[in-house]
Amino acid sequence: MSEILEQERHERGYARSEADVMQAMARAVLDSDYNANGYTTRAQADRLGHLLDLAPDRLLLDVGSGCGWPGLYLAARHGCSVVAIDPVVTGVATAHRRIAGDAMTDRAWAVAGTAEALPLRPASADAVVHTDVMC
Amino acid sequence: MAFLTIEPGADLSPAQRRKAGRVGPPSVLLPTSYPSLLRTSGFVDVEVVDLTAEYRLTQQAKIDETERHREELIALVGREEYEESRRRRRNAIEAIDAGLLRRRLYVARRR
Repeated sequence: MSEILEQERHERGYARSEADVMQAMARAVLDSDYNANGYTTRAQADRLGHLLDLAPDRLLLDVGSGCGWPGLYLAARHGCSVVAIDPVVTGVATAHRRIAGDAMTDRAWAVAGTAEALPLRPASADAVVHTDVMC
Repeated sequence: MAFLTIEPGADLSPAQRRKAGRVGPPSVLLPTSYPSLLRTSGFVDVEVVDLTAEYRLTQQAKIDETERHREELIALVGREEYEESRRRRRNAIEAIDAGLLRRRLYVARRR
């Protein structure tokens, strides 16, 4: 599948993740209320947060964060800052709304970008997470 | 760094690897291994945890939920895409059971 078709598939998927039925399924299967559409459960996200030793003074980078799962969740849970990047604008827009709704605009940012061109200075993140990227 | 990914099973023949590539996500087609990628990128202390059993449970739960919400999903995505999605998930479960696909957690530290 070409990169453009793959991008379009993700655009459709993130747009549909706003539908009530998709959110109900994400809650039932993944225990997530972040419009998640991969395979990462809340228990697995919690495990990632523990392994990365997240804390309020740390900056987490979530690469391929889609609508914000699990990066925004981990920042909310552990108090750290987060930069969530994804090349699919629909997902980034959903993540923006979630950040505003959770009053996290002072420590959470959703940015359109890719792993090949990260919008950060080298070595500026304390921890990096990615889940089911290309999956 | 910590990440979760789906990858080909261990010690697959070329034919099995091709089949894993057909039924699995694009990440399965990587021509190298994650430990190798991590090491060449300067990461050390690479730890790997197999989460294939949890992946299978998640795929089955997605199938169950897809069937429970059948009419709503068909209204959202159309019948053809709905059926295709169910078929892909059933194929993924068969591939997991055959050892063609696995899901793993990688943890590594930058030197």
